[in-house]
Amino acid sequence: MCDIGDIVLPGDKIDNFVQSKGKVLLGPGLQRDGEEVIAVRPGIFKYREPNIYWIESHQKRYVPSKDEDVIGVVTNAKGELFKVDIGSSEQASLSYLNFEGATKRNRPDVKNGDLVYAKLSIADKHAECELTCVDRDGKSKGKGCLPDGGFMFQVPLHLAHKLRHPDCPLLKYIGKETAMEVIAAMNGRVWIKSRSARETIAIANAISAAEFLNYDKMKDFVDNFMNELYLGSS
Amino acid sequence: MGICEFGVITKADGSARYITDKSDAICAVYGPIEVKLSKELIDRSSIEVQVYPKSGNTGPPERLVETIIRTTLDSVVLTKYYPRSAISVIVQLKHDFDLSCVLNSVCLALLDAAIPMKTMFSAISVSKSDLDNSCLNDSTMNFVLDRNYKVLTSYSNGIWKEDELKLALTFATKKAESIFEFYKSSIERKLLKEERS
Amino acid sequence: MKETPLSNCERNFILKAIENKERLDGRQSYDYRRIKLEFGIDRGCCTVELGETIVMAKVSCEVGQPKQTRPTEGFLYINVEFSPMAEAHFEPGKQTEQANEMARVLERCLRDSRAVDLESLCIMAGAKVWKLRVDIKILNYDGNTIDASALCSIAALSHFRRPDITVSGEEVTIHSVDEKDPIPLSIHHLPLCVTIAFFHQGTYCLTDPISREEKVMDGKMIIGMNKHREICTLQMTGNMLLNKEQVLRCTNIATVKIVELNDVLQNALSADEEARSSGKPYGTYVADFRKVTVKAAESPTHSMSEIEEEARSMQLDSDRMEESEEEVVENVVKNSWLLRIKESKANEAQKVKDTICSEIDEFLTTQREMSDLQQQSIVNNSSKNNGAKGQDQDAKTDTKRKRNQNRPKKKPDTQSTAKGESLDSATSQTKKSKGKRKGK
Repeated sequence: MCDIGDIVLPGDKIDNFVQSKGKVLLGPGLQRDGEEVIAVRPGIFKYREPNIYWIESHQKRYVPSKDEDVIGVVTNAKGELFKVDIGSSEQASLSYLNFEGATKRNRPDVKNGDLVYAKLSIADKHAECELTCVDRDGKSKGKGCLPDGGFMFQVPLHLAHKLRHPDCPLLKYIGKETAMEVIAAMNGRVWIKSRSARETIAIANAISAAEFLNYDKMKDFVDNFMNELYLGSS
Repeated sequence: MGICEFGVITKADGSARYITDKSDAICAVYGPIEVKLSKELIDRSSIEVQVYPKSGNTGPPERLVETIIRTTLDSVVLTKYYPRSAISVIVQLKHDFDLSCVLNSVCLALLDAAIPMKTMFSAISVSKSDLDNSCLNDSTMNFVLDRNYKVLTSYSNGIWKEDELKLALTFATKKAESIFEFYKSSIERKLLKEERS
Repeated sequence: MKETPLSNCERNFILKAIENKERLDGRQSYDYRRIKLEFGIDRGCCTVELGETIVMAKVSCEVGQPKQTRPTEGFLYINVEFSPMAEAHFEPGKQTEQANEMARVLERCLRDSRAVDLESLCIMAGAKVWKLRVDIKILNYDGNTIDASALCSIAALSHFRRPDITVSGEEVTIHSVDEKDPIPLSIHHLPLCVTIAFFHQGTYCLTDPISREEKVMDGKMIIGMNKHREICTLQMTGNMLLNKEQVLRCTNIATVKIVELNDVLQNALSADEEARSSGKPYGTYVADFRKVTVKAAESPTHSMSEIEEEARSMQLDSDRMEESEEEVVENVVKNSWLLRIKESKANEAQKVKDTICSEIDEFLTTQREMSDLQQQSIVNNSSKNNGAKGQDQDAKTDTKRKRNQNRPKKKPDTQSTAKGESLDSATSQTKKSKGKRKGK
């Protein structure tokens, strides 16, 4: 009934799974209802080899999921567990020991309102989420408190996913034109740092404007906006 | 069928404005968000509904509509996905009150917020004059139908005979079909913006 | 639901950007966002979109008893409510401080400035009057709700029609729409609000702040004014001190903005009227105006630092004005897309910081001189107004006149705006000047 790439709506029955060996994996937006599989979210029906199916929908509110990278705002930096706002329905907790090089004596320097880039180590809908800034070997790998001088803004989740996709050339194109650091986190928060406030604002606006842009249109788009940026300042 | 506009309330997680020839309603959905301790449910999210008239304060009529919306949503929204959280639905009327317009705007806003739902629903008001051209009888019947045209909620006033009720239901079923078509085209327009750009 | 906290990162960045004369959405310091006015199907219902901020106003009326002390006056009541729709942490039905403040400012702006003729709302002296009620709802919150609400409520009031009545002896008949055409309210002038946000202790100022800018600002000044450049309300809140020249400067900015907003309002009203009379009675009308650039005349400088200089050279204003006009025009050309930068002003920030200390000192000394000045200014007022009258016809000297007229008039007003008594003196003053204009 529904082909890959079609728009599906809640209540649509999905029955044309590609015949393949092994189990069929149902991703987000699909739900088994007795013998049938129904869509529970509006979105685009997607398929990936060998047999994974899911629905790509447009959403703004973040729902935590294990092992995802998020940017959070520290709201309470006292005690053993920091409270961190990650944009979901409740605050996540982050132990002060889960920073690179942190020990009981060597407490990381974190203040209220600071930004942390962390991975969700526990994300269960029935329990409080927990964050960590280190991997299994105790290395930060880029995680931790974000340095001063950058800027963070919120984009819809699907745009953040698009930016993180390895095929998406937008950030590469912008990076060719100007020096910048950028983190696009799964919770729709994007952090950027570039040479000047002016450039940072321009890049932030460009990223937000790319929500409905095709990959092949991105090159022209970036060229265009970079031209404007430098013409304006000269 | 009306006009639908998604994302009017930019701060909300999902929103829709639905304009028909009778009414004009904006609905915003937040969810899943933090829940008040007193309303927290261990195994599912609690649904909060607020309806505001175009002017003045909320009164008993609004409370009634809130209840109708809540009971409808309880049977449609998959609240088990987000335990210990809240889904907040807020409706603001910009014109005269019309139950079907309000309910349809709620469904559109839920679709915009991508809240998981078992099925979509559409609300249809049938007045007796629609069925037999009698001008004197202003009894109305409101049906909320799911995608298989099963009745989720009904609310009526006036006197209805059994066969009239059946007639009204077939009338509503026909209308619901076109409303679902409208939902589909609206969502397609929203999601396929990228490909058309 | 707790409010999403503003991170230190965003806070510092916004402040740094403002120092560099940049704004998050690429606007210039004195630009407004896109304004959209929409009138509802029925009369007296208006929605204003200012960027992402959405405000809805609905006017309703009922018959009631007048006050004993004012038997021939109707009522105008303003109610402001932040809908929980606007942000997840707004609680339903809760009267917040912010909503109360807004309602008070709007009441002062609309009712106490006598914008709506309350005496024309009298049906029977001492017994029956019309009670007007404006319900304002904030549907989406992205800063600067005051300006949007003021525009929205005056638009709704101008758009509103009350039912016609016939009085015969003791009997009052209220006619329905079908019997007699409803009649518009008599509105004397259209007061609008301009909010100016201050940063770095008043060193930098911006109009139309978005919510993130509002969260980091030191304070704000709300100026209610009509197109005749009469100040209807003026309120400063926040944790900062302002130089009196800065206050003047802000009112000058406001005059320009008010003219722009007034154009938007009147275009929308007339366009709606046209649509209704040309047989499209049930069409929702949308008026969409975009203000891309600041008008050159009144915003030559982009920071408060030059105010002192400017105040000193107030007399030589016209030369300066032409010069800065060119500057801005040039800037507008450069600013083809997003941002405008002025490298030459990079080291200005340091200079600015030095001047603040001296500004504050000066402020304290000038405060002592205030009372003398006030006396003087009233004398100045009459002489300057006479001088300005001669130039009335000349469009080019328009801005100069604005300054001349504004300068003396505001001084008594700015000193104690919070108190009710000063308002009376202000209104009597504005009345005086209005009378003069009419007389001419």
